[in-house]
Amino acid sequence: MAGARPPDARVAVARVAVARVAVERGAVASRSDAKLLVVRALLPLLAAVTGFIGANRIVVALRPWPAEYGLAAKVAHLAEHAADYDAVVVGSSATYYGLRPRTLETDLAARGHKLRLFNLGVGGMGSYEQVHLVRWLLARARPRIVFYEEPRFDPLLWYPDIKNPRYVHWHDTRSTLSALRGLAFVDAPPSYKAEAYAATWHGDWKLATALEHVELWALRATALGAGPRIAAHALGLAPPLSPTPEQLAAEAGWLDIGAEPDAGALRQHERFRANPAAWEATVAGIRAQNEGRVDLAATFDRRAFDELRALFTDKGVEVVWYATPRSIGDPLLATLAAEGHLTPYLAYNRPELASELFEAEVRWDANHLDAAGAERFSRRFARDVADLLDARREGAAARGPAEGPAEGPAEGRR
Amino acid sequence: MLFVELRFLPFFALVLLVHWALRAHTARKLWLLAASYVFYGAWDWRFLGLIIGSTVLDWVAGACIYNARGDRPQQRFWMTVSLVGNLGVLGFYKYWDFFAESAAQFTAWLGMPISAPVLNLILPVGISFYTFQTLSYSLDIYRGQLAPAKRPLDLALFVAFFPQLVAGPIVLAREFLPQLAEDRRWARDVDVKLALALFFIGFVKKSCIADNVAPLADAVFAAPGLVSTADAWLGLCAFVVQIYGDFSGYSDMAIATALLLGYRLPRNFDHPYLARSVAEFWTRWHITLGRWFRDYLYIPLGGNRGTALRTRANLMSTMAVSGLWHGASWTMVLWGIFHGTFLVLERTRVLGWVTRLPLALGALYTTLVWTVSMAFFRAESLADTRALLARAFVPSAASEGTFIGPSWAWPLLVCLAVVHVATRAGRLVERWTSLPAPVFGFTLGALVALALPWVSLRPAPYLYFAF
Repeated sequence: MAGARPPDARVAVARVAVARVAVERGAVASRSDAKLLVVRALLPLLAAVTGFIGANRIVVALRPWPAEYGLAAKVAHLAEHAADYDAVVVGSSATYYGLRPRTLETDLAARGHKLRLFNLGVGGMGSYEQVHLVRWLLARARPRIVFYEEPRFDPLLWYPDIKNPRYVHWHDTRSTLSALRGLAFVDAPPSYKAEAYAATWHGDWKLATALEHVELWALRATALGAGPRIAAHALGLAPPLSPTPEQLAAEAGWLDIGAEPDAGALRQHERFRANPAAWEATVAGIRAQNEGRVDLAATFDRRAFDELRALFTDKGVEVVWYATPRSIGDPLLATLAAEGHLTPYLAYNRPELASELFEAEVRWDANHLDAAGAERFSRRFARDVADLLDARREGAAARGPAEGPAEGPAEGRR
Repeated sequence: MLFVELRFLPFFALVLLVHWALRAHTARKLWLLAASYVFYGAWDWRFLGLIIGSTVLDWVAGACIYNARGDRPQQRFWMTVSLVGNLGVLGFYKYWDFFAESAAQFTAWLGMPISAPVLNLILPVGISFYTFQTLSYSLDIYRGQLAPAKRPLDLALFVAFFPQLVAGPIVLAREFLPQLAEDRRWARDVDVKLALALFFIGFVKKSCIADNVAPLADAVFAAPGLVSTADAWLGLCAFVVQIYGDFSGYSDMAIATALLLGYRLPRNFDHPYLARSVAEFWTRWHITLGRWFRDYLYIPLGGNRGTALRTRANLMSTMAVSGLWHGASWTMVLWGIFHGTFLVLERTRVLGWVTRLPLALGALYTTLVWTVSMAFFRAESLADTRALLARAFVPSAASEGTFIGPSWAWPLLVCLAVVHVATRAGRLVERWTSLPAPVFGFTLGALVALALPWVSLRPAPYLYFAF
């Protein structure tokens, strides 16, 4: 055939055509080029990820604890002085203003129990924040006893501004996953948020809350928006911590709520004092609420609770659960206590058992005791703890020295 | 949808992947057009009709103008149709209430009160920008500088191209349509390092700088007659930083986004606060708008070809219209006239000498003029402008209970000024993007991690979206 090319020439022409098409489409001509291309793209990407992670770790490590309601001040104090304490009381503002370590120490010493206590109560403490704080504490110190206020594992984000530093701070991966799991045990959102959740594109409040937790996790992981706080802290421009180191050292974390009340606290105080009849009704309501019982399988994240207990056990720290004399009863805690999950448990949220703490004269407002109330609460708490420790000591003596819980000098246990 | 919103990331990732995965050029353009409409529709889909209407109008007008070559009256007719159509929509949405209120005030002052209805219309985002773009298409055909787009798709994409749709840069048809005519190639048309660097810089300008200084400006402009002299200046300077970070940041991200798709958008800012004079400033600030007004208003008015007096009048009227473009209010018109005045004075012996000042002094003078002009630009009313300028120029103490500037504010502003100088003097962006890819990647990753903590959790809206 005229003009016909030999087979090898046709193959060569076809190869050239294929190569042209490949070049036209921006493809690479050979396998080695492809490898080179991948390496060229991959190496900068890996370098970018490495750079990001390295710088991010530094930034995250520099981020200070939130200063609100004494949190940063107490953490800073414990970071230096944790070894000075044998026991730590961890809880909310009811603990912060209600339990005075100096009184506790004195009364316990009078009963033969030498314990140095620190009040790690923080205003507005949330369930998972409390666990996060305890994890931080136990990673640095090994107190003999941790008194733990109300283990309820509430995953709801109650504050309107969810991006507040407190919420962001506790949302590490572990706590976030735990809170996400905890959503399975809640059946309604905060009532004031229900409408906003319903207005989301999916209309599912649980999904909306879960996404908020994920957002908070992302904010923590990237330190998004934390720059001004980090810089102020690093440059020493942050406002002085409150309480001051001197106050913390003097009172071991306790603060008289009436000493320097802010505007909100004063408003609560005045409202409380203005209507004594309302308080009587509230106390009656507390009793009724405490009579209630809940289905633990449906409303309580047992796994989170077991993990928390395991944390104490693994660290060799004894935990004592307690409830504070607040303005609402708690069927959940009552059920947990009734079914023997909270052992040992000191229940001060029951007016019939701790009536002296529910007298209006010793209360600052519905949820907080004043200085006189704190003195009463601390003495009652000391008495009950001393009874508990006495019982342990007696039990240990009965079982013999090898089996009993250690209660020797604190230094020996650290 | 905004570039700094989280949802933009998956949106753009999808657009980018599909764009480069498609092989046919037309398919890519169709995809980009669809993405652009989605991008705009995410803000308010109802106003998509305006963009499409504007596109159709100029497609028809452009074709008719071109086909009527040699028939100037016919061309003039179609050009008028385009002008009336485009400026009519812009005028209706943006200026109706302004003119209605102004007319009512004026007739009331004359003692013959006539009230025109105030409609409180929503201003469609980006209308000032895409209207100018479509106009540039018809005007360039009218002037014989451009042939009409070969396909409606090209024109539609030119008008709606999402990187520059809502806040510029204002791209001219003659620089964008040729890009649409040619297939895009990743290796040839995309400078990945430059695009990533520009996007990062734009993001930092907007989210880390502008949004963080915005509360300072907001606080001062909320009580302009009550702040101290120092805080009046602080508020003005904070706004100077905010508006630059906000707008140039958006432009940087727009240019970067387009670049990753293989398209080149014109530069919109070039270190404006280092200009030696107000005249030079306007060649460095919102460059594409200045170019538009120069090409389509100042030069047609006669430019500087007539007498000195005529040139000055042209300058003043161009700047007054520019002010009105920025916002439908008398403060904006005065802002434009204020700048026009300096442009005129710099052409006379009164201020002609400033162009011969050393760079530092010239930049100081220019920035001072710009800073003072922000009292017109940002204030809600002429009374607020007057009150703030009185506080700024007459030593005053803060009234009780008003904003007091934080101690970190001035050091921060000074640091930002140093960075502004250093990026230009040290050619930092050029040096950064010329690093080997792995080193560039590492520094970019580290800088992103270092920048994220400075992102404001309460972002201020884009200032130029209101224009």
